[in-house]
Amino acid sequence: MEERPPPRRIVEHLFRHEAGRIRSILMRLFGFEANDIVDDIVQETLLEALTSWSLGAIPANPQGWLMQVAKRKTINAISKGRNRARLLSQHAATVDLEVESIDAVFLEHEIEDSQLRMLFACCNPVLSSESQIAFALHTLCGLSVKEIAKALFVKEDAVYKRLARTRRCLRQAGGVPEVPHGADLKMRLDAVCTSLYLLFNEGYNSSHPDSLIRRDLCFEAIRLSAMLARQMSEHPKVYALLALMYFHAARFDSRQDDSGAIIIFEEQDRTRWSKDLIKRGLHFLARASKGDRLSSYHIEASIAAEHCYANSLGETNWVHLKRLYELLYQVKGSDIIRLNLAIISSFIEGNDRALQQLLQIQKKGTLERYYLFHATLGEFYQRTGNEEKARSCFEWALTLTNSDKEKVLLQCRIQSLPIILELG
Amino acid sequence: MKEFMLLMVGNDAGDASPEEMQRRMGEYQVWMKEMMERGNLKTGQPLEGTGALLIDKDTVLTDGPFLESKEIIGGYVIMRAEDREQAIELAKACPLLAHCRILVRPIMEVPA
Repeated sequence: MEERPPPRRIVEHLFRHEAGRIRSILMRLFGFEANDIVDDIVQETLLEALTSWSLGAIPANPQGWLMQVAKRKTINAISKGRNRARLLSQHAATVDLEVESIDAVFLEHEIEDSQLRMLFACCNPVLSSESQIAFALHTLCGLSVKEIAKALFVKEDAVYKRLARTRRCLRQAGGVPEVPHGADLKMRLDAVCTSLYLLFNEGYNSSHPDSLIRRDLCFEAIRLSAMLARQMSEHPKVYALLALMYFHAARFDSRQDDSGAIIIFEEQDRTRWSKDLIKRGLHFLARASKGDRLSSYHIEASIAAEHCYANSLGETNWVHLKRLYELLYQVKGSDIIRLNLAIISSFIEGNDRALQQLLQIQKKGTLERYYLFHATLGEFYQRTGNEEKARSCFEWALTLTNSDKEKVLLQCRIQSLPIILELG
Repeated sequence: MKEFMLLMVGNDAGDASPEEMQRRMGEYQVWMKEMMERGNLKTGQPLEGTGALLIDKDTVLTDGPFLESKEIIGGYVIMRAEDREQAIELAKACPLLAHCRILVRPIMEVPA
């Protein structure tokens, strides 16, 4: 009897990531509309891997194997007269179906170029941010419609619609995906960074029972940002963005307890912050410190790094943090930054000062529908002894959030307040 | 112990996502490993999707795949089991059963 060697293992998410790579190559070849042909090639390639690797053995170079199969299937697909005629009639000017051209796009260095083109195409400002994220998750990250729906808390129908709309839109904007040049590049790179950060936040700022798929979104955003940084190494802001994502991701395990309930920043167990991810963040922050342009990502990454440096809340350098937030406010001018500044000033100048600042923000009214503002205001009313106002702030905040976990957190705060008997 | 051939018929992953397919492969590897450790697995191999179909000497179809995808034999496994019932039980645990059919056929013992 033959002894079978123990099966080789493949890296986590290999199928998904390779699906993204193949899809990027094919969309570059065929344009945005030939989705059914692209879907078939991706699916058949993975299916062949599934059968062959299951019953046989996993090859030494699984990525290379998949690319070979995908290339063969691509050549087969376009040799079918029906497909060929359709592709040529749709994109007579742009599509090149010669075997040599297909060989060329499947070369290793061209694959990452295809992904980069696709990333720029996805992050086209003519698309809504919802469409950008859905399309990137599908084409670049290899998530199915069902998985995207689950990750973004929307119905599958809505994802289908977003994808179809995006394809139509991109088709109208111009045949095949390209990376812009010159002045256009700078502007579009900003848009790409914004979209990647949105994708990251989509996974980060949500407390959903299925936290696994949420983390996936964050790590997909990191993976794409790392790819972008490799290709755009002369743009330090991409490194800053990557550093920022790593610092945030380092805190994953400390943000929820075993039951999934939120643990607020001040109470997080810092020993559960990932040293490895912090190290990566610091590495990319150092690489970002070139050039003369300070982006908001540089400042936000520095803020996150500042927290990571401190072993405990008490060791935090609040004065330095305050300076960074002031700088960030100059760049971005958002009232959410003022909200953060108020919290920081409580550590430097005390709770009364923080409360005053919060009340000033409230006068502007911009954060009136932001649950975190009211939760924070409630917190400082409570700390300064005004329990009645604290209660009404928490109760108001409760109406502004849809997250069950956040509701539980607020209800706990309300219950911790002394009961006031209402005399009717 | 008798030997049985398991034929994996049809290879339709439906609309399984890439992540789902990778998960299935992991499950299959676990099944194969268990079969191997218990001494039930003799060998197994996948089959390529192409080949030839000979109807008679003059009718040879080589322009495959010449069968419906639901009829394609994706691969085979030869295993050892006490009897047909055990062979069926072992095949039932095969995760591929979720998306293909499995034909279990005893291999005839030819007396020496």
